[in-house]
Amino acid sequence: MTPGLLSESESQDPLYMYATNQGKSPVWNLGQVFENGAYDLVTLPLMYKVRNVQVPENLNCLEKENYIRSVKSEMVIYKVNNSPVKCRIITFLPDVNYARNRSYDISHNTITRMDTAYSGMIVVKDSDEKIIRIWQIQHGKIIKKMKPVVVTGVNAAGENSIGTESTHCVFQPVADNFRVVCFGTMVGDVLVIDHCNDPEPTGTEYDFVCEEVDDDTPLPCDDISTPEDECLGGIFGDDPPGDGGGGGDNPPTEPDPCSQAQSFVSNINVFSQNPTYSTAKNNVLASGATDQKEHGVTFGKNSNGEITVSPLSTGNSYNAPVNTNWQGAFADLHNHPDNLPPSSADMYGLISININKSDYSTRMVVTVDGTVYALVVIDPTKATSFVNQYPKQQIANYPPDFPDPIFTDFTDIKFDLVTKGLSAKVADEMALAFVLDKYNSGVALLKQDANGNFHRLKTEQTSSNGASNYIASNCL
Amino acid sequence: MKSIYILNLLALLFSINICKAQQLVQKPSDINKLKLQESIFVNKPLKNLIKEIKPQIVMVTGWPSKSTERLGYFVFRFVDKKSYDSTRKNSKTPYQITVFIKETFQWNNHERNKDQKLNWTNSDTNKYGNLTVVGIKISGEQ
Repeated sequence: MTPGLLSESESQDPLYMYATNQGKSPVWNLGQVFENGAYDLVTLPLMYKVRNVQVPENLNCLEKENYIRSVKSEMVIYKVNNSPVKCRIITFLPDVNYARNRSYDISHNTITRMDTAYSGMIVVKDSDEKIIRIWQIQHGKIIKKMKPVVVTGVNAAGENSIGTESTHCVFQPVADNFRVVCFGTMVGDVLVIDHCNDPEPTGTEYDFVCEEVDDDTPLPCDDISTPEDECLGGIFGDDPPGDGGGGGDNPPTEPDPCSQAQSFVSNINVFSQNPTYSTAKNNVLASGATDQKEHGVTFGKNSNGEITVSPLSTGNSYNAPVNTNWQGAFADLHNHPDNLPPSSADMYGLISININKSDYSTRMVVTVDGTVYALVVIDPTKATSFVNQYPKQQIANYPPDFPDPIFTDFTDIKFDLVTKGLSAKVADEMALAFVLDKYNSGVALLKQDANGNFHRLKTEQTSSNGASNYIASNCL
Repeated sequence: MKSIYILNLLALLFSINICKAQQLVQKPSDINKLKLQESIFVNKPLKNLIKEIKPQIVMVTGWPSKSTERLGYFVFRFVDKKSYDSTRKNSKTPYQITVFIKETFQWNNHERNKDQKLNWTNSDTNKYGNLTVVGIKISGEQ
């Protein structure tokens, strides 16, 4: 889905983009409702009938077209407590590399839930298209602030009566403006683009190009990927709600889940290149395929720092079949004959080991189809708090499970995803990633991709028409 | 003649007793009675529990297990998806019964009858009714 291409005209009329006009249309039927602290928000994908986009140079024609498509705008209608309803227009201008890595589809980004890997610009404007602020974002963090100061005057080119001009923004020619005409069909709520004509150069256009200034507005927060109240106030150019006003100290923010897990991910990626790991994994898989039982090994390090592996164990209960006393143990691996991701039993089991053996922080699970997951204790303090606050719930002689409210959340998410057509396996991994994060378990769920690299799985919750939606927003 | 009279009286008393026996769960908020009397359902067929539920089960989902790694279970709910989502949005959970099952069973949402994908039907009772209950979890408020 590419909201920048969406139109209320649905199926018949061509969808005009990025020409030289001022029409814009919110896509009402794709609105999403958020409650974010004191803020009630509705975000609507915003289609510009015409819009100028500064296309990065050094792209070939196809990439230029794709880049134009990737630029996303959304209209945010919001109110704070009992204040009047306000409107902002947020435009995401991605870095080329970010857009390219996302196959030129950045539509999952919204101002309330931004991809932590997002890199590029965010332009915040009011409903009259007046720029409030521009931020340069790198991996979800603000690294540069640009704030045009509007004064009365005539534009620098002297040929358009703009009326206002920024002291910090230069009105200059903007290269490579294109007009793309696309045709599409609405399938349910989703517009499926049939085809787009080749981009037509629309000639040189003039626009403001702003430069970095020492914006005296305090940063609303370091990480705006999941903004809290004060952060949203800063983004929208409002005073934060509550009694503080005027900025002040930044609220405490949770660390970015992706960067928090990065060192662990790097370690496991190095480890998984080791032949000892590959051989052990294949042995475990082969044994499981033979008898449909769980088998496992433990990885350790000998006194020379070399990676070792324990003999294969066979499981006969819900406890992972591993040898926790193996010398220098730091990780284990077992198979799941049910082809499902790690279980709550795996997670509680890992934490209980880690509490006593801090170096033993990883539990890998290989499923029948060869998918490899890893549970990693990335914050032992949080993990200990988690098991104290949410002790496992267990029927005697049967495997443990999450207690409520985690169990209900976990089941809800799986149910929601399965009814939307996802497989039980994917639903399970997304639900597990979500609850581990939501309940501050200190444990990350990783998954190995086709290239052999592990990534942290992350699931985000959005709300639309009163219903929750869960989307995979996995770390790159 | 006297003995016949006594037998008839006993039969009458017995039939009155049967008429008085009613399902444990008369309305969704009664589901805690299942938990209170969990022992009479554990290690017994699922159908014993199902027949103690009077309100219509509007949504059911099965989460089978094929290993010793986790328990399979059914979740029974008394509201439709829209109502459920609406309640959950307010950080509440509608009444629901989770029944943990001992055996492996097959359940694939995508293969269920399109019109009755979420409903618990008599056919389900026939198919799954003899599975063994090992535990009950109840949750919800309204």
